[in-house]
Parts: sequence; structure tokens; C-alpha cells
Amino acid sequence: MSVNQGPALLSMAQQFSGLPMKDLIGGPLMAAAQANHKMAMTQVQFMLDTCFNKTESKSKDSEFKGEMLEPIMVALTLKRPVLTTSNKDGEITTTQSSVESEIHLPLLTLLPLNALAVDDVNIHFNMEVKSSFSHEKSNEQSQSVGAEASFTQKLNYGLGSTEVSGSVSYSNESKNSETEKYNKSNKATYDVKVHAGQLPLPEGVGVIIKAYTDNIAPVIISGDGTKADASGGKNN
Amino acid sequence: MSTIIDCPYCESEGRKSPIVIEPNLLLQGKSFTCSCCKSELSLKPQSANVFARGLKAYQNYQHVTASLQDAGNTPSLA
Repeated sequence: MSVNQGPALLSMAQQFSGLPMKDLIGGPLMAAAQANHKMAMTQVQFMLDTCFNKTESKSKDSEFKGEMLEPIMVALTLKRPVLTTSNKDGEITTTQSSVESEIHLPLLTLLPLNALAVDDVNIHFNMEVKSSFSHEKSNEQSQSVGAEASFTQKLNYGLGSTEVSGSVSYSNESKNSETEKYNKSNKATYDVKVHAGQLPLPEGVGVIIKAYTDNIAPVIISGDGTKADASGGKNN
Repeated sequence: MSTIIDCPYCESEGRKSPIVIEPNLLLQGKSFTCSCCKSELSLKPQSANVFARGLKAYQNYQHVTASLQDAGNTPSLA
């Protein structure tokens, strides 16, 4: 029996065509995308709920009549040390005082917002299909024929006696063995590595925060209503 | 967990100097100093409640994103 006559080997193409590649590759990617979507929505919801007050538009002239979002402000104290030098009768004295200002910053600028997202997805899929067939056949036959003969003749004509003896041996041995081996094995490993890391803040959030922080510089109005130097304020 | 704002005084004088703020310490009454002009920034007591609410919401947000991160790190096929 030749190998060709044995059981058919596994069809590799058939083995791989049945794989749910869509699920194997698309599943983790979809899960990562959904996680990113959830994280982004959580961030937006947090900002809207925590950092802004919802108010109705009061302006009659405004085209926008819907809900408005006003940033929640936090009051902070800013103290700046000031050294004052005075010259009194030739004696120079230096005194230290502090200028205190009150500034209001949006809560959004004081919280370390971060954007967390799945930034790396690795899918490793290894599949090993082993298929082997072996056929062993051995036929052993041995035959031995042995003959042994001896002949003794005694002739004694006086009394007339005759003696004849002989032996014959024959052996036949036959061994037949047939071994058929058929092995097949499937092996598959599926390894998914996902890493969620820190991403830069979304552009829109960055623009809002920058607009707020760019306007932190104090604007101090003096008594006559004109803009005064920033170092003004209340002396302690 | 820290946040950075530009020093208002330095900004008004055309300089950029960051003040690094740790929100939890700010809530506890600590002040943070500008490395350039030595201005000190601290929370006014009248805003402590507003800031505490914001910080608590921020911590909840951190927990949610951490759990989402865990879920993302161990995805399961439906």
C-alpha cells in the first residue's frame, strides 16, 4: 500500500478558510475603538458637568437662544513681594511688602485634564496545522527445508537380515507485519496586546484652555477708570 | 497630578513663567510660587467648596477612565 493510497492529508487551505478572521482581528480593534469612544465621551461629560454652568441665553439680540455654558470660576489670591527702598536723610532703608490681587480662573484650567486612549493594539495569531501519514509494511518469510537420511544395510545372507533407517525435517516460517500511522494535530495561539496611553488633549479642549490661560494676566483699573500697572492692587 | 498656569504678573510683563499647581495641596491651603517673580498663588477660602466639588468630580472621572483602561487592556471577544 503506497502512501498515496492512505487517508488524504489535511487541506491547509481548508483549515485556514474556516477561521473567523473577521472576529479574530476585528474584535479587538472594535473593542479598542469602543473603549476610546467611551473614554472620550466620559471626558466631554466630565467637562460639561463639572467645569461649566448651564444657563439660558438672556441676550435678546443674540441669534443664539439655547442653553449657554459659562465656565465655573475659582477665586485665587496672588501675592507678589515688593521691595521698597526709601532714602530718608541719607539713610537708605529697604522694606518688603506684598501686593495682593484676587484673580478668578476657570476651574477647567486648574484640573490636570488628560486624554486617555488605546493607542496600540497588537494582534498575534499563530496557527499550526500538522498533518502526516506514514505507512509501513514489512513482509518476512523464511523457509528452511532439511533432510537427513541415513541408510544402513546389513546383509547377512546367512540369516537374511536387513536394517534401514532415515530422517527428514522441514520448517517453514512466515512473518507478516503491517503498520499504518496517521497523525494530525492542530495548534493555534491567539495573542492580543492592547496598550492604553496618554494622548495630547483634543485640539478643541486645548484651544479653550489656552484662551482662558492667555487671559490670566491681571487688568487693573485705577480710580479714574484707566488701565493701571499690573503691580497695583491692595497693599498689605 | 499637577497642572500648570502661566504666572499672571509675568504674563503682564511679557514673560512666560509657569506656576506648577498641585490641586489637592491647593485645596488644603498651600500656595504655589512663580520661580521668576516669586508671586504666590493660593486658593481663596470662598472658592474652596467649588474647587473641592470639581476635584471630587475629577477623581471620579479618573476612576472611570482607569476602569476603561483596564477593560481596554483585557479585551474579550463577544
